[in-house]
Amino acid sequence: MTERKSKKILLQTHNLVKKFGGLTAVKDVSLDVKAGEIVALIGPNGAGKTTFFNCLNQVTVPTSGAVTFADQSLVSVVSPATKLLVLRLSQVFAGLSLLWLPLVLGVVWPEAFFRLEAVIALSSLTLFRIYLLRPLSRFRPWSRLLLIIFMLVDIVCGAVWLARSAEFSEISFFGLFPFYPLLVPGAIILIAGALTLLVMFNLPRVREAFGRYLRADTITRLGMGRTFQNIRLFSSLSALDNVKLGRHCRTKANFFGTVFCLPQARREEQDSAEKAAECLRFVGLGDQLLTRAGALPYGDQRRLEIARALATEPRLLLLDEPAAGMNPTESRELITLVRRISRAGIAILIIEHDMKVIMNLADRIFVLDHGELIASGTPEAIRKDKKVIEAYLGAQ
Amino acid sequence: MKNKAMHLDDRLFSDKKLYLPLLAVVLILPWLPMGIAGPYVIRIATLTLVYMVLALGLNVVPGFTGLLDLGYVGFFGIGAYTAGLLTVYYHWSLWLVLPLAALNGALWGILRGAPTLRLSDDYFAIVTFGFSELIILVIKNELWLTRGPMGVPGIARPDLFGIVLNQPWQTYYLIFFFLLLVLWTVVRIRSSRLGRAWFAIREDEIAAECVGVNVARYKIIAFALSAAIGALAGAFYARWFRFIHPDMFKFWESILILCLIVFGGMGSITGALVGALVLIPLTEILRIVLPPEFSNARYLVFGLLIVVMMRWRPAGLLPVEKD
Amino acid sequence: MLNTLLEQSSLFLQQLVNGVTLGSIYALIAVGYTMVYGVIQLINFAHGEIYMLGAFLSFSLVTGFFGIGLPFGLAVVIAVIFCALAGVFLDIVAYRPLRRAPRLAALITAIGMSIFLQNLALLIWGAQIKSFPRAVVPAFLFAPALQFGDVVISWLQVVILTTAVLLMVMLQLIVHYTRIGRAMRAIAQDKTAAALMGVNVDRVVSYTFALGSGLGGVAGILVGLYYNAVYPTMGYFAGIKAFAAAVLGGIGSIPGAILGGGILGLAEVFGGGYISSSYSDGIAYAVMILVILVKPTGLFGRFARDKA
Repeated sequence: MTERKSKKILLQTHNLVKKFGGLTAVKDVSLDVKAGEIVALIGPNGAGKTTFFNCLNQVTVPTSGAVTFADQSLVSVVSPATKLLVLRLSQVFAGLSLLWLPLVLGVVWPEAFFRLEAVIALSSLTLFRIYLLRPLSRFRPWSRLLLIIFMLVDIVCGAVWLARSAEFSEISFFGLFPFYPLLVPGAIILIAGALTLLVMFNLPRVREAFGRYLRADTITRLGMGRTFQNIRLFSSLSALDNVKLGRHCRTKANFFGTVFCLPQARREEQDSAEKAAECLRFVGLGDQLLTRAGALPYGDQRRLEIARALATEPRLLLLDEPAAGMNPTESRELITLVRRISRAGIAILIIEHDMKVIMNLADRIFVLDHGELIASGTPEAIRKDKKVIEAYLGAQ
Repeated sequence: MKNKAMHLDDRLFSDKKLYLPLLAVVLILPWLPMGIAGPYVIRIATLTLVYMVLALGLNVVPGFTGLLDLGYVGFFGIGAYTAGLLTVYYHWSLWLVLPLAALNGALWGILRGAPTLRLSDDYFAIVTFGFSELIILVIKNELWLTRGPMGVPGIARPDLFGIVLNQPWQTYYLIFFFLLLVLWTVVRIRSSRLGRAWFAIREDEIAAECVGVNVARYKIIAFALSAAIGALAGAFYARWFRFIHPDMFKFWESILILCLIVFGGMGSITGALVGALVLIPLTEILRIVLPPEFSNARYLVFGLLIVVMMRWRPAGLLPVEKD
Repeated sequence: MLNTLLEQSSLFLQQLVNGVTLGSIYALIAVGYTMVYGVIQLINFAHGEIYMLGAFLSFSLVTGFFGIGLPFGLAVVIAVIFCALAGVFLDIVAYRPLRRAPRLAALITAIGMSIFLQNLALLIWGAQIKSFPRAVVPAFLFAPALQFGDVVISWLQVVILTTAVLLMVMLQLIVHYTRIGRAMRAIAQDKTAAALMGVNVDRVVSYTFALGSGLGGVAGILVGLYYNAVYPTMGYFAGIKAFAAAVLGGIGSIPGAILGGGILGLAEVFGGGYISSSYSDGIAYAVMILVILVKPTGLFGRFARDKA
């Protein structure tokens, strides 16, 4: 029974890709972590392990691919074809936007259209608008919103100008050619174009291309806790406060509850202090509650980070090189600590260089090299894997 | 033992030995026999209390969330003008005008803060600075609303239950009441879930996000609270001073308020109070003691003070943490 | 229609000339901000005060405020040298002790220094606006150099423009072709690595301050002449505008600062002329805020001043 339960997949990545400019730090990585498991991710320096971690909890936004955690989709797949479509559409729209400012000006200040400076101002503003469209190709979630706002404004402006078109029938450009014949078709083309684009950008496929990105704090609340390779504690706060911050996502007290000392807020504060102290005792820091985090010795800081992550009540704990810089005794203690965490039913994904720690702990191992997954399997299988040996020792 | 480990800030409302004597001194002050100096001393005391409120409000952003705000006087101005204009045009009561001014301040705090959420510390400082300068420009130029460089004279005095507070000691007690209100709020929040989230943002934004703090949201709350406190002080100031003018809200004021918390120790509540208690009477004394051509240059002292503090006591006189 | 167009265009051209002049001055000041930011990532708020000092010193030396009246040329040279020294002094006294402190501390110190210097000037020279007496300034500066129809370019404008261009070219040569320039670029890339390679960081930073402050001093003198007004708060406004120019061009980039200065000068003159003169100061603030919000790296910026 427990056996079947532990087979349930908790975290799954599907072809995860992260590019920094021309460099692909993570290339098509697909792996999975089952509930209650200890999985290790190893690889030479610069293999993209930490970047992969950052992509999991969205500290950096992955370029493409999908992450599913606890049956929730954290990042959805962005297909290249849809991406291209969105890009092309945004380019077409950039062209259309050249008509945009004349329209706005036509509504608010029609005379300005015939002044030299106004035309200069107008073209620079139009350039600015085209510039604003650039983020579309990078799929920032807000860029779609920006685009929709622009198009709504276009439609309104076009409509207003059409309604006031009679006022412009007399005017001509610099006394040379009449204005009116350009005006009505222009406005109609713009309105129609904006409407079409508005509909297209709301198609499910296009919406999906923009992805559904969750913030790191939401992901923590979903149950993914993590530690950092270079310790990131709140160093001027006490150890207890650090861990209490881990309780943050499990508590609710708000501004008013705090200021008016509502009983619920007070109870919650007490409760989180108790839970935090419990977490600290769990990692063996029970006697350091009020010590400033920055003043703790190095090994204790690593354990404090784990306590802080545990306080968020994770279902999956991401440990980024927890044994780095530890002496043999400390890393032995760490192994027992990780075992105890695992026994509490928390799945663990661990990045580590210390092979003794890995071989001791891991149920399964994934090996990354140059951003690519080169091997996976049980510790015994990995130990014998040719590719892994090559990656670590160089091809022979 | 536990009490000793607690910072002064946490003891403000829980340690009787600490707050009872302070309370007594503040409450007795107007009744001390001071002869003709009396009204003047009360005036300075009132001003000091106003700046204490301002320092506490500013402290929320640079002290708690670690973002340098160089335009705090903008909110002071917004509050003063909101209250002043509402009073002059509609003759509303202080108790209606004050919350409205605070709300307006909070609104602008949010509007200013929302686009700056992803900026680094020095760029944030520049944006806050530019914002407050723009506010002053608007106040100066929109004559139809603010009367611009003519200022707004003849603002009604504060009132309580329909009674106009004429006496200096009455307004003095009033601002002391507001100070206690603000103090209570910030002291409570400092040691709560909200305050911890702010400290986390100050220490390490990425780590804060990863332990589940919604960074954007808590920054916005800090901006709103800080701005609301500044506007509250401004509203009181307008009703107390009875005249407001765009030149009262120049950049120097922002720096003066910043100086108060730098002096006392950024992030420390008692530090902000002590900063105002020392420096505001000092400015007033300098104004009297120095000959007029020098008294204009008294900010020189503040500039020097900031430099010296940053060099030798960067954590201020009452630092938040002691090792 | 054609007539009004011509009239408008002559107004436009005059504004263009004024804008370019103003812009070249902003560029001179902006370069100082940008160079310092490039090497130590500090917004040197007190840079505007150095510029103000330049104007005041040249004024005092020319008019004999300190007891001796010097010829104009000599006064300018001494003032510029003094400004460069003041910049170095500022760095050594205020900023160098804080190199390892949090950036906020250095920034606050810079603000403190700015206030200190400004009030010092107030104390020494008083709050009244001073103007260069006509007698001590070479007279030809105020004569028109070129005139097309209604468009007038004065010699002063010509001098300002040529000075600015020459100094910028010189600066580019220094930065790109000298040892010290190479050291500056190395420090901008990576301070620690540069120090490990044997670059004396403190000395290079001092040179940077000297160069930037010297240019700021030149700008101060030019503006003092151009508007014929010298007053203690002049550095504050010009400093902010120049800083906006540096941000616009991308802070840390010298060509960016030049371009940003030009754009801002034009924007201010045209904005003041066509939109609203009372808000012309606001244009700099608005440009600055917009650039920071929309593209914090500016036009040529290398520093992605984003979090993380």
